[in-house]
Amino acid sequence: MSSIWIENSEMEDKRKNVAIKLQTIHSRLVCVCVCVCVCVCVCVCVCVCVCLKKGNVVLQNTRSHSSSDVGAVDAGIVGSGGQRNSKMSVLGVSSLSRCGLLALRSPAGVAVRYAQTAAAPVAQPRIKKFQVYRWDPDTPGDKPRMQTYEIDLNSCGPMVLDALIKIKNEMDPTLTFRRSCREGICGSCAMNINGGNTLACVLKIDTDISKPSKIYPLPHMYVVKDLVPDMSNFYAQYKSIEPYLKKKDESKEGKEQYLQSMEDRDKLDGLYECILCACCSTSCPSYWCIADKYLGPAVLMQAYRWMIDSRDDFTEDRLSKLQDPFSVYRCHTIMNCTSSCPKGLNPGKAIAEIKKMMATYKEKKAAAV
Amino acid sequence: MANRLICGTPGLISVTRTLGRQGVCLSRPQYAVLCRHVVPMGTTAKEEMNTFWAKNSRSNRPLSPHLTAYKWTMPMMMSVAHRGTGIGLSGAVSAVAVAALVLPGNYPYYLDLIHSLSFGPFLIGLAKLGIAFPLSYHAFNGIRHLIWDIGKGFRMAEVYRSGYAVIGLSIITSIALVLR
Repeated sequence: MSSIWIENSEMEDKRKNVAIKLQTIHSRLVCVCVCVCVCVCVCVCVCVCVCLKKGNVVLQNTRSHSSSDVGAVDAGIVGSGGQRNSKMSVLGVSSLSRCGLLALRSPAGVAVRYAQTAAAPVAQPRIKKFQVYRWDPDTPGDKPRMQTYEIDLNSCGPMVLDALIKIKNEMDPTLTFRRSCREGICGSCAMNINGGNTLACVLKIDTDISKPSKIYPLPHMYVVKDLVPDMSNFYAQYKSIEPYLKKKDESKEGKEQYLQSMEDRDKLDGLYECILCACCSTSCPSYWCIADKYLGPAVLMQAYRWMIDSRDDFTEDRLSKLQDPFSVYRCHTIMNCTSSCPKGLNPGKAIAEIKKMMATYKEKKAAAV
Repeated sequence: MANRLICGTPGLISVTRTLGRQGVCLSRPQYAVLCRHVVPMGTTAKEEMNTFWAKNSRSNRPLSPHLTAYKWTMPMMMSVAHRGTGIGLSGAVSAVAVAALVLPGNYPYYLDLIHSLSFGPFLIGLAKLGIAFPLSYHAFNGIRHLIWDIGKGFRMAEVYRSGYAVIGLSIITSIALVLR
């Protein structure tokens, strides 16, 4: 993406901009003149052709009429020839003029083309530094380090993932990272960029070239290579909450839809959209400390999603499974999760709702019994 | 975990499900066309977690940077401060309690001692602030936590707004307490 208008408050650039504007105006004027000339020529040619046709008809008439009178014919021919000659001379003049115009036009045309291409000047390269976390498991004794890459933002897409792909394609093919959809829906490219966890395909590169962009893998995760963390524990925790519909009576399964009111369906909004990118869980300091026992915001939000689904019959069961000091209650409402969610969801609130339900469901159960 | 065979004939569901749960994949050739044999997942969530920890603690894989890499935001710092002031305050209370038990002499004796040491108003003010600010900050942030416990104020804008309110109120209150 080349931008003619570079945002720079220096005087030289302003002068350059004025010069560019003048050049474009000049080239546009030249273009207009050329077009006018072409139109004039075309009109002249058309008129000439029309007149010539008329002349031919006259010639035919004179010939047919004065077939006996040779002299007259000659005269007629001469006369018509003269006419024709005059027409031809007109044509000649017009063609000459056209040639002349063409001759005139070609250097002008070249000049126009030059002016047009010169009107799009070579943009100043905007070099942005990217400091990327690197670690290679196959190099024995390798220590995690930061490697700096320089990218010209004028020839790079707007998102951080575009920059990473450009680095991998053009500069360093060994740079390793996960990616798939490039549109913020798969969750593969979740990483820590400039201190916050987001999806690389959704975060725009900060165009301030004075500051480097720092790219780390998701925090406090075992690194497989470069920016790729080991997500198996996260997925196992998700599996442990049984994220599927459980009915007490499964005999009607598959026969027809399980119906749900619109109010009940609205309760799921803001919960089902989770793409399990792990940005929230890996932003939580509690999850950093106790990733083995604390489930983390992403998994807890999905547990809540199944608890409040009106079609699910095992709400109390799900709540009772979380009754221990660690699974839920390591959340101290630090709210890093909601802050980092790239989809704009609110896991912090979901966990607060779980805590409320956990405080009251036993009474409800006792009351029901 | 529920390992299920999805079959066309509903009558088989209950039979196959129980067998499936035990990790057996039932194969019935006559229903091979109708049945979809789901490969039973041999691992439970617990097993997967154990494998993860065993593999990674044995490996030489580094842990990705966390405190050094993550951006310190206002809510994060306020949460740390709440914990810090809480530890400080409870420690101070415990220390005073233990001192009251252990040290000879009563409270008026120690008060006169501090007065006689002529610290000067500025230092005395600073010491008072040192007690008043953690107390007021922890109290107001505690109210913020209680509001969170009833489920209110969870949008990020509200979190920041309530955070700034807590900081402002605690500064005002602590100065008022010191100047009193």
